[in-house]
Amino acid sequence: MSFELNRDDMLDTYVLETTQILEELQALVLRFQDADAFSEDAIAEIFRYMHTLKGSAGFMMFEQMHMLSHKTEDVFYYLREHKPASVPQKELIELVLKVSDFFQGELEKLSEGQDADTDAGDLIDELNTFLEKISASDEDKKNEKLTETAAESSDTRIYIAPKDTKANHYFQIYIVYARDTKMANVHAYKVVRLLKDIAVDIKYTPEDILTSEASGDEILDKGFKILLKTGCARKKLKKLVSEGYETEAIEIKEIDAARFEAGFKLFGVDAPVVAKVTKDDKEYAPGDFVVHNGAPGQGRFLAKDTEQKKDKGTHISVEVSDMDRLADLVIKLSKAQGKLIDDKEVRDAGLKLEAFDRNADKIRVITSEMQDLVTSMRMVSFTNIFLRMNRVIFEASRKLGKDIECVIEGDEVKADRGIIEHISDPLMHMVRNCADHGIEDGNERMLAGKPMRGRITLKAEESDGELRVSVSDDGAGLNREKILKKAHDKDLIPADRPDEDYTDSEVWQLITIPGFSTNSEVTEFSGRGVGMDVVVNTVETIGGKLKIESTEGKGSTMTMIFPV
Amino acid sequence: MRILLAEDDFVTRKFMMNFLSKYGDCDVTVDGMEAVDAFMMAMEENDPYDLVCLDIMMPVMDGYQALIGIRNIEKEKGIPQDKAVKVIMATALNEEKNVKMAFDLGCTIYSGKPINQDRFEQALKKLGLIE
Repeated sequence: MSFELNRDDMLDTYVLETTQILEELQALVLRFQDADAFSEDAIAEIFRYMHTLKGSAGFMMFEQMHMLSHKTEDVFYYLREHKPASVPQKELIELVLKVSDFFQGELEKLSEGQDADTDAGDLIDELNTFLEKISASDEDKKNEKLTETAAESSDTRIYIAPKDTKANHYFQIYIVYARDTKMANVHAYKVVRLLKDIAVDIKYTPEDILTSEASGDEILDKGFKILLKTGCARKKLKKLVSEGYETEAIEIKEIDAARFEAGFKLFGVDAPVVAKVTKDDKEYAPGDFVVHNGAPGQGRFLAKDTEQKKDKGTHISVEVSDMDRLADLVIKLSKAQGKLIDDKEVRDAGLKLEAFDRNADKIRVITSEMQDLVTSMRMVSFTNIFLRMNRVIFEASRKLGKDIECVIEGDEVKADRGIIEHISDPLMHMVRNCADHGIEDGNERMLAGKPMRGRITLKAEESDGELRVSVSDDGAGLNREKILKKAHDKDLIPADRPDEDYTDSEVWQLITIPGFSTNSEVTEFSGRGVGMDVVVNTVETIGGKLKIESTEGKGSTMTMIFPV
Repeated sequence: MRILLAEDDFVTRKFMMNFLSKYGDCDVTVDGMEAVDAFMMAMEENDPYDLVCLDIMMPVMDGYQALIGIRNIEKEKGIPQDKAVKVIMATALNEEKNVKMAFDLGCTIYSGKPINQDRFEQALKKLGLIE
């Protein structure tokens, strides 16, 4: 059997799988064409086929096929359970083939985009008659229940195919308005509004048609361009946009998904229309379909499609070693210049040095400015490192099955490149700790009356001569008892000092002792015992210190503090 | 019947509201988070919903997340599976992956968009939600 594939994934799968079952069913039935009866195995097999067909038809809400396979299943249930003595084999084979043909006919209809709604009533009646006949000849069993009517299980799952099972079409629409059209932008908006009803996604340019009257002139000059993703076919679309609007010309072209995604760069550029829609192959996860609304005219975009793109200005890359050398040279230059200007021989010569001093001052200003510039060139903002952490959080949240958002504060703060480079690993560690140990899973959060979605905040700030970089979460906070118990278990603290004697911050410090890890389970993300002690070490190496704060039930904050 | 609808698009929301109101009282939310909040609230007020209709692509929390949230609340309250609320996901996403994930997470009906109203009604009957 051959057919054009639908574009509804589920429907495609249904048609393919059902076709396979039908082929197997027919082959099996025909093997017993000349036999006196089906073997027991064959009966059980056909019963299973019918059961599967019933299940999938029910799932897809194809009622007629569902009822028909149900009835056929009943027949084979009876055959299997009661093994009636005389069964008209030819008649039975004919019936099964009729059922199979019915299914095939329906599948063909589905493949052509029609509904599978052929009435199976007559065929069901035939099966009923047959069932009565074979049970009537079986006197003893007459009073037993003929069939097993399984109660519809409560976990019924149903798939409803979209009304128009043709998959999405992509169109570019180009509208030219008559030159004397007043407020063409409003007319354009009307079209957009109309299309929104049928649009899965829509983009248009100019974008600011609602708020900018000037966009009206632009539309008159250059026309109004729309990119539309819709389940509607071209014909319906044409009818929709052409009626009643004061347009001079409308051009509708069907395009492919890639061109739609490419936006207006390729608008109007002729290229062969590729019918194949490329699907994205990665697995989805909850949270991938959170919608972020783009600016008007830009369409909506999904969390899964978001890649951070921040305009970082024009940059050139420079070898770090060159940079360091430059900084070094500037310092040397400034020293040498000081020596030169204050040179004893010159100063003691009793010369009039007015012009010399004036120029010396100029040079001093220049070198000092150079020094500042070189220092600032070594300064890097936290933007990149924080974005990288955002990514770490995202991945961790997916792997851990927790819903976690990342909040970034003060990413514009700058610090010496050396610091930023060195805190990357500690930061990653702390972030993973938060995601893994800090943030509770959804259930626990619900119970604690917190929002489902956990939050990790990355923050950089500079004040009072200190640079503070912190990672905080709104999770469960550190657990005093657990930490103390662990410390005792691992002999990290003297056994004779009573627990009450420890202040909170003393307890929190315990987690930075080498070999400490509060989680008994080693996970992929944290807790290999090379945890917080390494963080503290790294921070101290570059002249900073680590501060840990925590409130049970509210979350914890770890702050790296560096002198500036 | 008490129905909760979560749909972020105004036009679709209006359409769905009209459509669903035929079958019962329909409350409306505009994102996944609100839907979970509303569900929780109804639960606390001892007036739970019989049917929850979720869009998938929504702001703040998507339909999948909302579904997880709802099923988690039910689990926590010890509601048995056969008493669990029927959840319909209505969406234009129709890749098999999307459908599979929905059922894995505990959705009852997955309906493509545009909604096939006859089918929708049939499905509600099948679930015993309407006569």
